[in-house]
Amino acid sequence: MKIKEGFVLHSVGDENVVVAIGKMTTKFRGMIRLNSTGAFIFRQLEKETDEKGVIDALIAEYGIDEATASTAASGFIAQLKDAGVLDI
Amino acid sequence: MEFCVSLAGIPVRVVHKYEHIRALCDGYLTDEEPIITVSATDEEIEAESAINNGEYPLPICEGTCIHRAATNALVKHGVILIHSAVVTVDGEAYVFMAKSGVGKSTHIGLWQKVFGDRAVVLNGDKPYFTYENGTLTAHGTPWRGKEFLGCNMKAPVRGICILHRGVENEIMPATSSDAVGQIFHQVLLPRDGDDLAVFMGMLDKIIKNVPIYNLYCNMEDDAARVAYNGMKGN
Repeated sequence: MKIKEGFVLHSVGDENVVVAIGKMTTKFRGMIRLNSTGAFIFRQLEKETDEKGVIDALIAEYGIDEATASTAASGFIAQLKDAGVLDI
Repeated sequence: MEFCVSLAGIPVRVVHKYEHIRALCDGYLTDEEPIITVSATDEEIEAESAINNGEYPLPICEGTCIHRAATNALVKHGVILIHSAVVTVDGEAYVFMAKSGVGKSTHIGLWQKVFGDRAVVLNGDKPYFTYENGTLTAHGTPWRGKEFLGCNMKAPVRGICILHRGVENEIMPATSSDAVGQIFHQVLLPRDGDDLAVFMGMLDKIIKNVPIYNLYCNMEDDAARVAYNGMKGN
């Protein structure tokens, strides 16, 4: 899975925001605000990976256990899917 | 037809079909060699008219399209639009952002009443912003809103307020989250990725370096004094 082409993440102030560029702007005109963990997962998904790849990256970055990382990853990935941001 | 205007110090050639835009830009004409050319196609003008259900005549729709084209083209020159009303007092700019209908124009009218000749409206609706020598600077533009408030001037920004209606007048620093939430409703995001990066870089700099406040206010004169004193640091 991977973030669809046309979605970009920027840091503005203390906030992380995802907006659309190029052709994607005709389909998506809003903004998605992410917390720091969400932004980290988004960065992982900017290159092709799978849920396990995201979980491993979360464990390495935050030193959390696998169950916690798995819950965070699956919940956030589901939200990205619902928002139409993710290519499965 | 065409003419050349200076927008936030950038010379822009405007190629147009109707007279309205030329009249609107009086006071912004320049003899400098343009580095940007903007225009609107018939299709764009008609699409703009359709969005508004034909409420506005085509010449006004052309002006809107040309404003959008200029705003998009200016980003790579470090010029961004923040939909807001800007009043200057003693040469410093005070910026007011709000949801439509909250009363930006009414509020800056109070500043003119309270501060008299010291207060000059820079722009009532669509000012441009640049960084000049590290200072956020507001610029007047030909697009001044329904009340045509504003003039061709520039001023360093002293503070930005997110305006809310309130019973009492109260001003307090806004969080980064408040500022981002409001500012994104008041901008035209570039579609081009490189322009967007420039744009986001400027917003980031503004949010980190310019004092931003929440202002809750009524329509009494004291609203202007509370806002001014809060932003001036008195």
